[in-house]
Amino acid sequence: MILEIKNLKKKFDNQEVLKDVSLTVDKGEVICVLGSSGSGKSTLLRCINLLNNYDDGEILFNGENILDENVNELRSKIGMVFQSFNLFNNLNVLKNCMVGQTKVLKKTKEEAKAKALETLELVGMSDFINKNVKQLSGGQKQRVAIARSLCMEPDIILFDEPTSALDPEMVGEVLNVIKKVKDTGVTMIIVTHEMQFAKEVSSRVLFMNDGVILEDSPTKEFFTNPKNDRTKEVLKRYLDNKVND
Amino acid sequence: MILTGFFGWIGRIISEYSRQILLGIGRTLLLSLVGTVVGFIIACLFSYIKTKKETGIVGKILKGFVNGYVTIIRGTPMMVQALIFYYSFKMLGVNWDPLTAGLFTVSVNTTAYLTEVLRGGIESVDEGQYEAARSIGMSGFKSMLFIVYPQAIKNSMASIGNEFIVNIKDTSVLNVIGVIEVYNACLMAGNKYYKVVEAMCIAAVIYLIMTLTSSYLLKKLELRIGSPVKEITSSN
Repeated sequence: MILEIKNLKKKFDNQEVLKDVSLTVDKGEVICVLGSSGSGKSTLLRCINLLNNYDDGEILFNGENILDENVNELRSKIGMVFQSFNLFNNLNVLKNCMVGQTKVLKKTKEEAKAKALETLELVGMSDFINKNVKQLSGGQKQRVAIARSLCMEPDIILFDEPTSALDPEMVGEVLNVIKKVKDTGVTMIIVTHEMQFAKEVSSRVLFMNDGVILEDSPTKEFFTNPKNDRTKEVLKRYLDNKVND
Repeated sequence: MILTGFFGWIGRIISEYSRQILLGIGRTLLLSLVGTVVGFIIACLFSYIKTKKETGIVGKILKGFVNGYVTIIRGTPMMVQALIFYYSFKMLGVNWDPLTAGLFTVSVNTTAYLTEVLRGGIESVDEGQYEAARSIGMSGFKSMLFIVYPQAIKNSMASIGNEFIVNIKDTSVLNVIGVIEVYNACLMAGNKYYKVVEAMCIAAVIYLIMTLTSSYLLKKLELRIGSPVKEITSSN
């Protein structure tokens, strides 16, 4: 078990965003988190690497309470891919992938460069290493962001709606890269609205609503035989749309 | 007749006082350059303190100090500051010459303005930049140093350059503590013959040449630091 979340609670001002969320994640699992906006999906992810703090409950990472660990060391082991990419604007593509390795992992420039080139190759961005990030399209930016995260060799990568800010034609290239990343065997938690993608890539699906996990099932079961009524409703809408397409 | 007299006097003042005027130009440049550079370096530190979010009790005290510093220095004339610093330090037994006191004053003054400039620059950097840096394990300090500040400084280049140009002109107030910079050198020359207008016209032209040259050079520097690659914003 790589991650264990016990009875997590979080309030923003007076609004309860997470109400008693519990979850365990095994090594190598790919989990998609579905649910409407405001259901607490992103907050859950951001609590795992302490970008948000939480009010109550416990998160164990590799068996250790994350609050007991050095926060910077913890974050270097937990990758994060943001909805709005957040590539470093002052650095080119290659340096975006090197800076964490040299400044956090204390690798030499040569080691960092080799690793950066390797991951940029994986995400198909080898031809752009000297480009300024502002020259890239949204899809390319997100692929570089994924590479930047992979360069840290994290134990787990958190994806916070990685395709929500993209033009429709760019969604596919990013999802394909995530599938490739899955093949490397790294554990992933992906918050997404892409049902089809969730179906293809994940081993397990969580459905969140209003701060609680309504359903936590293996992917196949989730899409064929959901237990929860609300999940059934959402799934029905999705399947109907698919027929209409 | 009047004109030949006017230019005659200008020529005479320049030839007689060329050495003092040149020295004055050197001091004005020294004061504005040192003031801006020292001010910038301290302002980097102060703006860091001012914009830091998660702070303990020490951080809060430092923040209070910086806020008070900026408010007081920006809210009072540099001429008054110069007099207070120069004589109060003398009373405390610091035996310094006017030029050193002038360098101190202009540095203190510029620090306050550039702190605000850099704070603005830092706030103009998207918060996602800092968050992404933290998310790969950089400390708050490293995130600011390697990711936020390079962008904040780049965004503030025009205002920092402007501060230098303002300093070229405003260091003229340091004559009150006896620094002989451009204005004071010209004034002394003019006073000798009661030809203040002629002397001040010389000073005005010198200031104009210095500010125009500086703004030209700063433009070039800004273009260089500002955008190494022509920026093409994508639709995403």
